[in-house]
Amino acid sequence: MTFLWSTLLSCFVSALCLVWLARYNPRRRRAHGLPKVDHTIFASRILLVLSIAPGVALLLLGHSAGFVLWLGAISILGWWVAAFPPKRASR
Amino acid sequence: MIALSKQRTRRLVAVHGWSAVVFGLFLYVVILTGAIAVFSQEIGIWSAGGKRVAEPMAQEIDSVLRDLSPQVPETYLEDVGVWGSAAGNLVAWFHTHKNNPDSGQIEDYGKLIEIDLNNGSVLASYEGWGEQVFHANPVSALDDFIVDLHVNLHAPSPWGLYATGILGFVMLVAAISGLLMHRHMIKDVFLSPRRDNPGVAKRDRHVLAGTWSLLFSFILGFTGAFFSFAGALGLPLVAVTAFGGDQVAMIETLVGAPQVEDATPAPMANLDAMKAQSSALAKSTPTFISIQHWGRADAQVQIFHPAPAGHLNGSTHVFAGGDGGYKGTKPQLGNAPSAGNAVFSLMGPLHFGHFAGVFSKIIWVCLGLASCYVIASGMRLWLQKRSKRLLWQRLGRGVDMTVYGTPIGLAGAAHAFFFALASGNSAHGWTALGFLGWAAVVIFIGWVLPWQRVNIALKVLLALLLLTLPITRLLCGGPDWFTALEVGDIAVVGIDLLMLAAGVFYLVCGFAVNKTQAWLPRSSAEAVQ
Repeated sequence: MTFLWSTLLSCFVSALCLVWLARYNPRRRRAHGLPKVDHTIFASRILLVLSIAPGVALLLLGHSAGFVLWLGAISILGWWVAAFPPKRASR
Repeated sequence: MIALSKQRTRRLVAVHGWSAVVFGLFLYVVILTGAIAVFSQEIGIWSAGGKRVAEPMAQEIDSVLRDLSPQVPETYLEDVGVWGSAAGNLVAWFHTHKNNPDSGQIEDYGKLIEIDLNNGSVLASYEGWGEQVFHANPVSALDDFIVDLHVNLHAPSPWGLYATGILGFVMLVAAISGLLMHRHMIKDVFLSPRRDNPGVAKRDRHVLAGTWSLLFSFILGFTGAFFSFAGALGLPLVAVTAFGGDQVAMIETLVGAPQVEDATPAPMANLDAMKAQSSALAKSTPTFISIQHWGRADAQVQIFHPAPAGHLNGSTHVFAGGDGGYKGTKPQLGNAPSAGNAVFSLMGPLHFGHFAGVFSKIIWVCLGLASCYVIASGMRLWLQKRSKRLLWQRLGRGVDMTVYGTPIGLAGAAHAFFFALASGNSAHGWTALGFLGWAAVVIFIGWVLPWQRVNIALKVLLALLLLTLPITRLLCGGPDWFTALEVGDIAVVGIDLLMLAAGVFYLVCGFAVNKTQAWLPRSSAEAVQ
């Protein structure tokens, strides 16, 4: 049970980071006509590391199955997060 | 970012596109059936109407096998396989190995007996070659059909395996060429489909799905090709190249040297005690037991366990059959732990996604469906650019017919299976006929209707077939939800709900404003109006 919960938690944390990364992704914002935001490259890198960290933690804890599950789940969650276009800015 | 000259990029686009045009529809069928086959065990339980015993392999089986062993010819005691069926029965496969004159190969021949563990009664028994008896039970016709369609496209061995192996390599080629030709993959990883231009939006959707599923396209394509070619081509090649054609030496290296023969009759030790010991060591219930030389002094028992929680690989524990003494674990490949065995052991869990129960299976189904979406959207992109020519328009119809026709055929096969099972007809034959019959209906619709209507008609047809599947199952004598839940058959209710949800989804898609038609040629669209 610990394995399942730790994997679910890892997927949740990584998904949150992906949502944040997508929200402030400059290419995505530009393509959808959203205004630029004050989001530094440093912050993006921190979020990127944070999104990968749960998977690495699973691997270090010896949960090989958890790591593979996390990798699969992130592939799907990342796709879904990116596939929904952001709300248009009011013009 | 991967910098390539324009010429090289053009070549890669051609490789990417043409490989999809030639193999894409077959690849779609193999991947879609593979995604469904991830739940083959649950589909087996659902189609069997639930399980008689929740975990047959967790029950006491020693006395059952002792009672059965004197009832089979002595030669069949050479090898005994034991496992639990999808219907919750115990299956014992007493067999020997001999030359099959039809195939010219050494094959299993014996008696397969299915036992109800509630009272120890024999439900059915079949005698013959392995391939015949494994497909003799009508209850497993539906999951057998789906798995065989994925594994070999129902083509004769080894050609079917070669075909799916090549399709695995095509998947790898498409993934690599896609990776190389998309120069801004990292930058565009969060680029959602742009709404202003429908054509660009379709390209964005394809690239986005392809980017996020890229890693698992490699993994699933490679492991799939490995499984197709390993037995059919890989092992004979290894025998020729590494062992100078000596297959016996190769088998001794890969599987282990056979024991020294001792045909002295000797009573078997208690199997349940061995099972309990291996279960404690493996921390899981066994899925399969293999007993060599039942009732002889050289009897050996191998007990196979699935991966315990948190691990990718299961384990195999070996016991001496005579005294029940523990002899240790057996690697999947070779006789001692090795790097080759570690890599080989990863292939199964990475391809089948069954290492963490329903949780991992759901993710693997999603990954398979993502690959299906990439293929279908990619083929439509390719055709969109060429839609003015009649030949490409015909292929466009073929894409719609395959994308919706495959699940329609499978749902139709499931209907036919339930009716055949209830009426006592050949479930295997009718399942195949159901698939072919509904495929013919799809071809007829695709041929007769205007192209723009084909898409809608097939979605609605698929929705109706899926929505009526639980009703057909009930009408044909399957258990209702309350009965299924009472005995803990969650798979029955789960698959029914999945069918209903998928049916509603396709019904909504069918009747909703169909944006996908934007890629159709203007002339066809106008013709409909």
